[in-house]
Amino acid sequence: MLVNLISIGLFPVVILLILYINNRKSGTVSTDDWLFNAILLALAYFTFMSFASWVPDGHTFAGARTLLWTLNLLYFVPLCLLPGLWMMYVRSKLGGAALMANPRRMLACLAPLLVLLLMTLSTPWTKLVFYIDGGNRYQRGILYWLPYIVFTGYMVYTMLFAMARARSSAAKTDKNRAYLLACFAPLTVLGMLLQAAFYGLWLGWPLCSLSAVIIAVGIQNRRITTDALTGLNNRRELERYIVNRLKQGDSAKPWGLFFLDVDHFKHINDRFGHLTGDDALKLTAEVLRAAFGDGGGFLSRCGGDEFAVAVDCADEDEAERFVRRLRREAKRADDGTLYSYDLSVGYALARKGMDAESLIGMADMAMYADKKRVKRAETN
Amino acid sequence: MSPQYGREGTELSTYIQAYITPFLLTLYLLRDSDRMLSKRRPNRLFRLMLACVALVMVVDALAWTLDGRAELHLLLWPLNGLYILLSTLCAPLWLLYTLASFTPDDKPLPKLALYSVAVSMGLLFVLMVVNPWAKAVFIIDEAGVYHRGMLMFIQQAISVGFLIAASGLSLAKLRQETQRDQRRQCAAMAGFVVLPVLAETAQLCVYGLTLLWPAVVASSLMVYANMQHGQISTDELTGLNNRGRLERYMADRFGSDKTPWVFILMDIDDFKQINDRYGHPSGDAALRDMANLLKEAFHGDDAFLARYGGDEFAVILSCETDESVRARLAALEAACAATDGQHPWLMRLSAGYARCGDSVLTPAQLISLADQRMYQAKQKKKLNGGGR
Repeated sequence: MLVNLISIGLFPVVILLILYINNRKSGTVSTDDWLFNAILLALAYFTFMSFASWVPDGHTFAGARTLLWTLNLLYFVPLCLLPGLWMMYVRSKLGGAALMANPRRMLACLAPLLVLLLMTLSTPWTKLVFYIDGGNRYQRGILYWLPYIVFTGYMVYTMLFAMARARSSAAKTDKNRAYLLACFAPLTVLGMLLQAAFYGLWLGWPLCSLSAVIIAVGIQNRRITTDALTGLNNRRELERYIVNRLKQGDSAKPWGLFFLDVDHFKHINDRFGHLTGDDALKLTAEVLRAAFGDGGGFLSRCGGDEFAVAVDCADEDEAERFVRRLRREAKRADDGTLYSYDLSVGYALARKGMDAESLIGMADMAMYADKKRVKRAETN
Repeated sequence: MSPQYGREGTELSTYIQAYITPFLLTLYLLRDSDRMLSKRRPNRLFRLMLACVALVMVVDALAWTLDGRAELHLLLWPLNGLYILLSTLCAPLWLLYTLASFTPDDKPLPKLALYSVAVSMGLLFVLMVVNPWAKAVFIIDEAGVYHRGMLMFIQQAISVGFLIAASGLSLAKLRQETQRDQRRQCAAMAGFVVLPVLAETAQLCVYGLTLLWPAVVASSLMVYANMQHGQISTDELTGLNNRGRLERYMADRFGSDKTPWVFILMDIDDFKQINDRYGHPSGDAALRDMANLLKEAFHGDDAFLARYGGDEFAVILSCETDESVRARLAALEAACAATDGQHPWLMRLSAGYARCGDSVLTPAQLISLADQRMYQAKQKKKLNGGGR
């Protein structure tokens, strides 16, 4: 029995701890990182306790009964924390933190967890969730399904919330992040339901841990592919995208590549300092989201003050429409207080048989031509 | 590597439950690494090892399920042989991955390593082919039940030998490295062997445990997480830390380290001209040169080096007096001047630094102070006619 528990239960605990340590070493910056680390640690705890609580099961040595009660309570009582933590994490990640500010709605959201807490706390007297029988064996109480249902309910609710966010967000990177968080639920719920249905099967926590690992790896991937300052894709991701899309060839819709940079960025940086320069870059990201985002455009910052956008675009006319829209958005963003903000832009349409380098070169050249126009206007 | 003890004493349902999570995780890592890792040689070898581990788990589970079926006698010999070959192969693949990560991609891997992999795997293959007659490595008895043979230790010796060689290589590399994150990567690679060895020992001591392959998968996850960390925190062009890593590092150190430290910001003079006049490839070369000059100048100081963005670099030094910081910067400038004539442009830099002390409250203020001083240094140069 013990060897079975170790064979099945050790792996999920170890992988969770590995990722927890890895995240801690990488340095945590935001509350979100901190919350996610707490979730990894909590998952490791519950996985460990769910297996540990089986160890003295059915044994009759002195104190076995007390030990069994203690272990099971240590497992069941704090269980209500986990769905709460996960819901908070997803909400704060996807911009639903406002819920936390409204005490009544917050209470309504947490009520099922409080019910679960009360039920498990009263279990030593009421035997509602579980009890230990005369042979020192764990037995399911009449409400044994309550933790499963509450847990599953929160998982599904949070998944639906994440999916709704995914559908409503315009930029692809935001969509993908929401979908990533939504994929915590399916495997976890499957494992929990199987475990509830088949007594003696241990799939709930291992599959839950697996989902957490997949999300942790996905979060790191986001850091690899996105630019930390603006949240857009980075250069590496842009190059991969262009190569992949050119490979699709004729079957794909016609598209164009836009190159942009911030006018007088060096001057802004030198004159007003880096922090103001950073603000100008963040502002540019917002301008791009407004101008290209809803067309499913691929937005990226490819280094310094240079940005690139790949977007479905049938012909020159449509490309010019994008340029006009961009100029409108840039003008709207220019508050003119510190410096005058504008963008230079150039584009090239992807054609059959083009390679990535020549497409990038053409878009880059078009942008330089536009930049010269800006400089000429200045000297006149 | 031999989970035969597992096979002999484990129930089928436990076996499947013990393997399902590691197996799914391996498949996920294979898919994710295909998308996220470049097709460089070490990455291809890492993926090959992952694929081998996934296959081993399938073959192992299959061999276990069919164990004791006398009517499948003929199938059990090659199936178990395949299991032993594949499970051994993981160890040399790990060694080759380790070698490939420490060898530049355009250089061939050491001949000695390739020969020893070929010879030992060849030997094992021959043993597996003759085994149904020689019955030396393992035996399938009349009832179709698997038993280990006298020469099983050969397979274990090969696996353990390659794993230990790989760890030795990583440890040797760890001693040479000065950059923190590279050291961390080496440590993770050296530590790959720990979990599988612990698992194997536990399996030998306790009858009925199934831990070895899950442990290999857990170790692979650890290595993969470190690869991700490397991709997140290094600047691809120069190999220094990138800006995101710098910010996390400063935030951590600001909170924890009370001893004084110095933040230096520098940029390459007239970098825009190098870029515009000689093209982007020359600009990139200048950035790489500067990174190498920094690595040499601050070698062995436990300094934290980062590319701050564009042509700007940042250095964090521990507990230095103003004189010693200035001496360091003077030495760096001399090293820059020593490269004159190697390129059509002159490599010069302007630097400003700020100390983490009473007047500075946040990392942003520290950066902004160093930035102002760098800008002043640049202006002064221009006034003195130093600018070109």
